[in-house]
Amino acid sequence: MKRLMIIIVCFLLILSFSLLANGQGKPFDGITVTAAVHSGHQVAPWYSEEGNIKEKYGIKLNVIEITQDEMYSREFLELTQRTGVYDIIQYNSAWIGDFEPYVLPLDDYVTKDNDAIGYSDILPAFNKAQNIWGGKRVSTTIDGDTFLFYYRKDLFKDEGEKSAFKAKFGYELPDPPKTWQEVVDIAKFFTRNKGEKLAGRTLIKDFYGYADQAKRGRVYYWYLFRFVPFNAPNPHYFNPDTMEPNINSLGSIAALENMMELLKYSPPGVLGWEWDELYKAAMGDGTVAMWIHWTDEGRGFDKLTPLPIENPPLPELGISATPGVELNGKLYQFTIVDSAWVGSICKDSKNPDAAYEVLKHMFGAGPVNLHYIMDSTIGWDAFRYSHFNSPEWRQKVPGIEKYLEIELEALEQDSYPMLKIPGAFEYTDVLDLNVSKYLAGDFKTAKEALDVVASKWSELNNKFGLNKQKEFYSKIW
Amino acid sequence: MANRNNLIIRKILIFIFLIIVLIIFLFPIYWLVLTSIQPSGEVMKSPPNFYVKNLTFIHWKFVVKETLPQFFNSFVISFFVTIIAIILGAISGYAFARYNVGGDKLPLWILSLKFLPPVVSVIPYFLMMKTLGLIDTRTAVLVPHLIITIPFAVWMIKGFIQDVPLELEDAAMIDGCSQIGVIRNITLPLIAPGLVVTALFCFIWSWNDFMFALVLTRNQALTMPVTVAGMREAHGVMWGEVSAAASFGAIPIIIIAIILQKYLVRGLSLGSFR
Amino acid sequence: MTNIKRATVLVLPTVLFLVLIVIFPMLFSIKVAFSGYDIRIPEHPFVGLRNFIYIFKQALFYDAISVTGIMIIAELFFELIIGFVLALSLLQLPRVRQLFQPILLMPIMIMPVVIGYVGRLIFEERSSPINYFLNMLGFESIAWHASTKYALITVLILRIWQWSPFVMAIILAGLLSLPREPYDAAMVDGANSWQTFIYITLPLLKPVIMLVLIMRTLEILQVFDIIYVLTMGGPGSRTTTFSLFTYLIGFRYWDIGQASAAAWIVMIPLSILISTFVKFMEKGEKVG
Repeated sequence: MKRLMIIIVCFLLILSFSLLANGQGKPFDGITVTAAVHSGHQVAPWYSEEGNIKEKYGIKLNVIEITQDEMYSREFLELTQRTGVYDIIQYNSAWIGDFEPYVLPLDDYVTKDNDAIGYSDILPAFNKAQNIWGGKRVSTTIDGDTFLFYYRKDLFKDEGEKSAFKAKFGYELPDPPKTWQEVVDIAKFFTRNKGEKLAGRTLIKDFYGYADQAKRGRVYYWYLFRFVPFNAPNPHYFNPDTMEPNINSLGSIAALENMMELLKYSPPGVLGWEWDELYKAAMGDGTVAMWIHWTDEGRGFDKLTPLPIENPPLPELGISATPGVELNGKLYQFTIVDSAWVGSICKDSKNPDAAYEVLKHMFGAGPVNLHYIMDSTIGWDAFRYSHFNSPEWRQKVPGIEKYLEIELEALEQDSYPMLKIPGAFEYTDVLDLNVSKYLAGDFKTAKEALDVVASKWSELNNKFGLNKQKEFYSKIW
Repeated sequence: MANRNNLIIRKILIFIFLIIVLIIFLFPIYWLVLTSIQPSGEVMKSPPNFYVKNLTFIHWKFVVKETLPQFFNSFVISFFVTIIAIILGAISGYAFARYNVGGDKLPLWILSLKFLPPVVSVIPYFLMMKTLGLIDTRTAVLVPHLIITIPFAVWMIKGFIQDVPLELEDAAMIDGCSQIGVIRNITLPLIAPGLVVTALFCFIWSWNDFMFALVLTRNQALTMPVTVAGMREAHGVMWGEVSAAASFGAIPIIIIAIILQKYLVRGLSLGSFR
Repeated sequence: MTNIKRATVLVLPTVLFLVLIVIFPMLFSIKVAFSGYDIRIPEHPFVGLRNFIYIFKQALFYDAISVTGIMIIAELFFELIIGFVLALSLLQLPRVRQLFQPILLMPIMIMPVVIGYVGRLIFEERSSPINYFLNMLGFESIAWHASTKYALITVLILRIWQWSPFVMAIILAGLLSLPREPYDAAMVDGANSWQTFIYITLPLLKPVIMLVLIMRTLEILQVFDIIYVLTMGGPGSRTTTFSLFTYLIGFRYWDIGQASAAAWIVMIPLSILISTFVKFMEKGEKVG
């Protein structure tokens, strides 16, 4: 009897001690979470939050920076070699086809804590294009990158130009332009040499109607902006049943021809333009009338330089959804949602629970995430309803509501994802190469160029396995 | 008398020619430094800024503060790569040049190692280093660098030694010099310029390597080129920081080159040019 | 111990070391060139010549070979001439040499990635300082790396700018190593400087020149950063070099088998070419 009592007392003592200990310690004390992230400005929030994460959860954050261009190769190498080094990876969701086997779906966590991370607050467009794969939530949005159409509203408002346009083309100058055909007309109209008149005043620089970021390596984005609407009403990269490439359909060919047409009204350097060049020319030099780009112009709308004319009017940036196509009297416009950047937990992670806490802390709905979204130097874009409707943001940056509301509207209509099957890189790079070659004059017709792409895509389908690709393709939707 | 004047005129003309060449060659460097001390917004302006309009050291401060660890890593790696490559290159080079060890085949085989493109050897090196547990260490980066620099050093030094006439060495030996003495007193001074140049370029090559450093490091053994490649804003390039980092990265090399200049002269009066 | 044996001992550590660290990658690349290598799957089935055939069927492969070939010829030609001229000039002015050589070597001290960036800055059509000068002289702006006509030339300009100093430095070092006797003899014989150059300097420098040509060729085959940053191989495939071609296959499409196959397709004829060249040059040496 006495011995039993001693055992019970000891057991109770130990029990109470351990309960006390847990109460004192933080939930994940001593655990290190390693995150592979995009270097440069985008890494700043991670370092800023390092201290908070340690204090709040006891987690030591180990940041591994990877240069943007090499994220795919570096991460893919570590994942496939199962080094187990990463707990969290930041990546472009277009790579999910290749990364899927190595990534942990998050649905269980979401159910367990009742969506504390806030998927319901994320715009459906982003969930669809970035986070949901085959019906499962595999990642959380880090950056709500999307594409918008920008134009010189100050120029479009000029009465003289408006009447001249109507006289020449027979319809009102659309503000904003809604179809690619309108863009062609407007571009043609506004492309003028230095010395000629624009908005009634003399141009001090050459002025161009339109500009793409047409450098090899990225130009395929600017093709896709046409590809999607030109294949309305139900655009597809592949026929979902047969996986036959749709890249050389009549609509696709017309889309590429549109690109070539607009090249005539573009600055001579566009074939070498990356992000900086287009941004500088349009926002810093003011020599472009219309262009499509990421959200940076919208967020920095007040940085627009005046038109390159004598006595220019106050600069005003017009923002709208990317142009569409009119078919049988109906307008089809799509907003392409960039698949970057999302964050996932690696299957090989030894501390997935801790990793999830970190993801929640950094990207969950709340003031921490909002703070970094509002900071334009970082480059994380809004992706939550709480971001777009934020009163703090409106207070911090007067005038930002214009951009926020337009982007929200653009994303609530038809959004369109990028290609995400295994080998997505190869598919899109083949497209990019041949679009670039066509624009450089290496193909006589757009059909020729796209037929090459189509046959290459079929080859790739066979290389990866037709049925497998079909299955993956269906997971996008 | 006339000859002397001709010589002076010739030297002056050559000097002027070199100045012009210098200006042309330095122009992009000038542009780089200019970019590093102006705000990033001044980049790609039309018309461009030919001189500093808004001086700022914010990029340099950032680079010196943030990239010091990578700078150190790069330096350590390049330093050891150079030392090892030169030593191995010198002894092998001498053996090949004077004794024809391995005939034609062996030196050529060593040279052929430079043919393998880095892209192809990157994965095997990753696997090797992973097995050895050496990923993200300076040693891991050092090894593939040696594959590239040792063949270079061997062939360079071999070539320079071959340029030293055997008669010179034979004459010294007849005079009673030992083999080592000959090497130390005759060969080495004569090939000093070649050694210097080879060392310099081994260092530069290792310092500038991107691909191996990228694949074999994570965050401890990062080198300058990998860090510079990552200096991006959301979409654009951090022009100011990149320029400052590149200029900062060039400083040790310039210093080494200036120090080594001393040795780029004839060590012996046997030489025809000084 | 005979001299040869002693010399062999000298070479042994180097060779052993090299073999150790190169054997695995070399065997790996050969094995992989003949297999279907998917980095996700541990099994690599033998596929015979499939990778090789696939490479040969690609139009881009031939574009890459021709671009690389043009680069090699143009660079070797211009860099050799410029390098020689600069080396000879520096030779005549020993006191100036101390300062000028490090300064002239600066292009090669800048990371190749950044040279690409500098290229973007000085050649961007709208904001290019070079175009600014051209306009001042009354010429039209050139689109440089964005132009289908001038893209490769732009790359060549940057490359020749970057590497001529390398050639200069090596040739200068070679010139400084030359013995005096032949020159004394020539002066006694009354030869002028041009004759001295052609009949004495050049032949004596043969090993050095050969070295430079080989090293440059090998490096040009691996040119990467400038192209990647400045043009990404474009417009179209105008500046797609062989190295960019293999990089895309090996590092982006992750088809290591194909990348290795492509590498071997070029390596074999190249090594034959270079070893023939070396044998030819060395034979001349031994006779002379």
